[in-house]
Amino acid sequence: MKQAAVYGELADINYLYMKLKTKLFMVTVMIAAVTASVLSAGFTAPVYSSSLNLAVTDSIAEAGGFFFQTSDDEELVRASIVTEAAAVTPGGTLLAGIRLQMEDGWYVYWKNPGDSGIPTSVSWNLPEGYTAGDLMWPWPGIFYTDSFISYGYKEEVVLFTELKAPDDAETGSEVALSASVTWLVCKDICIPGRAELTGNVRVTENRPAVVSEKRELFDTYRERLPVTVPGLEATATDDAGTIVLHLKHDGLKNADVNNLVFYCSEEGIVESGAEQYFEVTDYGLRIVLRKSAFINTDITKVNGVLYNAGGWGGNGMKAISVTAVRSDN
Amino acid sequence: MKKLLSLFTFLFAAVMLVNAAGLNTDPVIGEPAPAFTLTDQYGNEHNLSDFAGKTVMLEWLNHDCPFVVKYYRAGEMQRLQQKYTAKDVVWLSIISSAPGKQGYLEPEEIVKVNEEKNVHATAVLIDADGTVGRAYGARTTPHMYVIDEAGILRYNGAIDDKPTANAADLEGARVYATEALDAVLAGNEVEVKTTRPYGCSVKY
Repeated sequence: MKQAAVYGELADINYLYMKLKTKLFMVTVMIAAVTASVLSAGFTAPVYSSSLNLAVTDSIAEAGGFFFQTSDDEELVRASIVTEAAAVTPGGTLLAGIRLQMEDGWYVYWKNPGDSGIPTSVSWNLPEGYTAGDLMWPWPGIFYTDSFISYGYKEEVVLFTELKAPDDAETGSEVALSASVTWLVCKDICIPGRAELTGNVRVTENRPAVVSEKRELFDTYRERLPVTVPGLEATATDDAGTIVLHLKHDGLKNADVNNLVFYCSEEGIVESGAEQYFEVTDYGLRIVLRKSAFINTDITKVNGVLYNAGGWGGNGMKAISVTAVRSDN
Repeated sequence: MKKLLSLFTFLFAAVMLVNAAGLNTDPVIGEPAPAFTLTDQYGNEHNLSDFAGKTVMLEWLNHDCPFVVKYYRAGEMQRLQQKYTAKDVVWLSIISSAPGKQGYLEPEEIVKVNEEKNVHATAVLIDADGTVGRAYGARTTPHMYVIDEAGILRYNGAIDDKPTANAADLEGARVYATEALDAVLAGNEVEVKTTRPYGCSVKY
């Protein structure tokens, strides 16, 4: 409804492509044109500094030695554990993921589900000494139900976690990985689901190769992880129901504001369906968001993902992490 | 340059106006709750003003939603309805599902479901065109509102603090909705006045 006008019609929203067709859009286009002509600043491509730092080689991993159970009995969501390599070294890391494949039209939720819904949850259960890092979420799509919006994933997603082996992991041994995954899957209706997933990887002395058939899958979703941009400073102010983010970085100044969406990472801070206003400024970017009607406490910071459909710079990077600290109190 | 800047200012103002026009109609805590007239499962009309002098709980309802099932299958919603209607609270369950969508029930189906589930709501109201749901900004099922004797909205939000569809989470949950109701009945200030509602989206 009104909220839908913010983004206009979204085609297939999975990995959204924005087409804005409203009057608001026309106004914004004009602003973009004006700002583009007023402000001319060079774009410095932010350095990719994801925490993923795994060995990528061309050799093909041995196929044997690892097996992953999938939840075949789930009709709407097929869940499975995927790992980038079939093995891990003592003290080494392994990029693992929960792959969720949804039936046509059904979606599961991002960490902030939006106006309704429940975040997908992943809980790793690992042998002693093994640790799992934070869940890494590819940026979501936007789905409309009536005038409310949801953030989530259609078709497929991989939610990543970096697993770390202990220094004293015994080479040649098999390691059992397991994860409990719960989700709410929705189309016109919502159905909760869960899966207990298991798998094995080997411990090897030498750095393992990436499993070639997994490479495309991992690359596809790794590219959708928000990137931390060095030097990006962000502050937030909160006034009369309006949250304003000030993002300071020269690289933001060339943004086409039509292409931008801000996804707040936490539920209930920003009104998900409300219009968002973006303005290129002399310091970078100013973002005006509507505060959630349901927030009880003062905002101390706003974490989120700034998505640019046109990409940031020429390297295909579309989403950057934003942590804006409250500056007006 | 100056021209460009003033054009920019104008456009900025235009955008802000569009934004202002696009605001939701979330009702405001401490102000009169939106008035409504709806028909119940027996064809009786209920106007919010009919209940002046009584405390009112509004419960957005969709019996096929897992988050609603969580409360009804365990008998917990019915228990709360019984407990508070016994304290002269008016408990109105509102179905805003559009005909053909999940949760929509014909009046006679509501009567049947109420018997099967031993529902103790004062009335189940049919809001098939979603007018009242939208006036209240009802997002989910359940979504709860507490209105005091003077018709002032005192709580808007989730039923409790455990946003799951798992009945095991009923135990130990902080039930914001009845906590607000207790405070209003006792003449106290509601501690938590708004929370983010959780559940299925309302099937308008």
